[in-house]
Amino acid sequence: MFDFSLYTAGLPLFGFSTIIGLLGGTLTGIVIGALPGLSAMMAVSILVPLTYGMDPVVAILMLLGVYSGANYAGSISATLVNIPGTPSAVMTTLDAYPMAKKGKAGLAIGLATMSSAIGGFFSVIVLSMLSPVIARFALQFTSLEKLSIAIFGISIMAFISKGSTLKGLVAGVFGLLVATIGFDPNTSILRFSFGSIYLNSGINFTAAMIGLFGMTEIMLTIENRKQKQNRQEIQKVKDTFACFRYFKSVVGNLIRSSVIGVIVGAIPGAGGTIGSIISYAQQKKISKEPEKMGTGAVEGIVAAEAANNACTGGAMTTLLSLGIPGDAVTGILMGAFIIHGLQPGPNLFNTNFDLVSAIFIGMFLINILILVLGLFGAPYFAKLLNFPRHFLNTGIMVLCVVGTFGVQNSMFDVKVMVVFAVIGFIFTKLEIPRAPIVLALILGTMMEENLRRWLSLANGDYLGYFFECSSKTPIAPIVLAITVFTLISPLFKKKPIISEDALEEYEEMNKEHDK
Amino acid sequence: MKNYIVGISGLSLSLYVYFASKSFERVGSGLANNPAYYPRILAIVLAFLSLILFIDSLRKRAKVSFHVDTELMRNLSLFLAALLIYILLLKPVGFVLTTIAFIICMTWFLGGTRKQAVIASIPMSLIVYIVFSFILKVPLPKGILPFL
Repeated sequence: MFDFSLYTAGLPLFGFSTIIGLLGGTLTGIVIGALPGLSAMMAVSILVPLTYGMDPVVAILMLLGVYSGANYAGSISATLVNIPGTPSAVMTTLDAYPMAKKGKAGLAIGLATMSSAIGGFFSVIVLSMLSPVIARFALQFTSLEKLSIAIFGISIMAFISKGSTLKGLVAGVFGLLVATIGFDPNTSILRFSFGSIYLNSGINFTAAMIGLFGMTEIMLTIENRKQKQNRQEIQKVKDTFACFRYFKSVVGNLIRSSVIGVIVGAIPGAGGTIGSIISYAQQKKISKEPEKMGTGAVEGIVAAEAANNACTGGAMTTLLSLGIPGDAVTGILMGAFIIHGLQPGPNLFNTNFDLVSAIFIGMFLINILILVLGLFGAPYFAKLLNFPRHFLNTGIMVLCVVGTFGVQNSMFDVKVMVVFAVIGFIFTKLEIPRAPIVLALILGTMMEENLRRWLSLANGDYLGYFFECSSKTPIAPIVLAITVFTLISPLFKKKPIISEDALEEYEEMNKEHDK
Repeated sequence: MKNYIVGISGLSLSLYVYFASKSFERVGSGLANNPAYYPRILAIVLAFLSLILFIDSLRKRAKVSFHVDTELMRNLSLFLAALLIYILLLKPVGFVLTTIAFIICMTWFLGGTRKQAVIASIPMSLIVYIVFSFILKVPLPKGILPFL
């Protein structure tokens, strides 16, 4: 018979504090996501230090709430002020803003909420069905397979990040180099410690991450310091429940977009932004009235938002079953797992069975919360958009400093945070993506350990041992081949992987946004 | 221009890593046990990537131009200076006082009025202090206000 224990084992963990954590996390996520300029990445990285004192289950579920909540809430500012609250809401602006201009802001937000929640539900179902299967399969992985999957993850992240792949790879290798600082895992010999005892155990991951995604964002806002924040006329949000009238006509669209979202989310490095671009483009191709898309069409909002939130489950699938984060935010989440003494990966299903189960149940509840909070709370979240930015940014800076200090009560970590903020700023100015650094920092040690374990097993005959391993399970060579093919594919064809018109639209959006 | 900078800095970083790894290499211990081996692989990969980037921009005859936005530079150095002073004073002076001063400076610097800055600073820093030291049990530096 079918074994349901994986889906019920986590139920006893849902005490009062867990529910409060879920609710608080989702609410915080929605608030942060609704504010333009504060991304899900920033929200999760600043909040990780706040979870140190908490029970691991509460902490992880709270952060998951922040992640999903922020991912959804990007649509609120996308609808009301035409600025995506999180990058992944880019495609939502195309239809939601025109609809709001017609006076139907409530309907637009309602539709976004409904599609987000349904996309999320769908992705949780996929997550809970697929990840145990993949994990069982991944348990047989040896060091060669783990190594090749790590290389695959970082390369794909570099490939997909905005800007040139080459620079993405540079960022990845930079992160891997930073990860080598400190004691060598095999021989305990110090490397690149620059004479500082604080660097013996390596760079603190949380400090680096808060610097790269929290402080850097604030530094980037200094540039347009002089521009006065113009108070925009914000539409009244009412009648959010009207969206259910459209439910019947968009069911097919919802399912299709959710499937696209989950698949894209599961590819390491590709997150909600790419998921919603692809799904939007697909919808435009199938649509009966494609000319209406972009002028406030219901189907546009549905396609973009369902795919965008379905990515959360896809990204969590690879994180839980393979230990490879699906996007930058889950990368930071992986850091949070490690801080709480949990190693994401196939073993998690054996060692922390109840936690995995609690994650499934928790993510399901989070999507219910998004639906309820979104539909009832939208008018209030809309008011947040006029909150003065200077208070917000100052508060975030203080939180970055205090949060980093709180990791291990060390002022040195705070300095590391500032250094990484400067690095992040310079990288952004040089158009090098920051996301591959995070992934590389997390996977660095694991990669090195597996590489060296494999090398010592090979005992001198590297090529022969590679073929011997490959003949047993062909996973490693296949994964490596896909990696190489992806990286060199731009040399052979000029066509981008994402359908062109969607990409153009996305680029246009960016240009407008930059202005 | 940007690609030139990335290429050159990438190359120099990889050269640094390659030669600095000499200080901790264990010669003759085999690839797996030599701690210098893995950083060197990375250095070689980085050098390779940087070279491609550099040659590519040479081939495209990317313009070498340099222009510095003085306004941005000034703002940036002010911002970093304030941040560094804040961090350095945090321990000796204590969290609450330095944070009040920092919030006043930053709110004003980031575009708020002076009145707003002063009004917001005290409750903001107290809330952060209370949340972190009493709820999250992070021992924030008390400094010259030992009674907090």
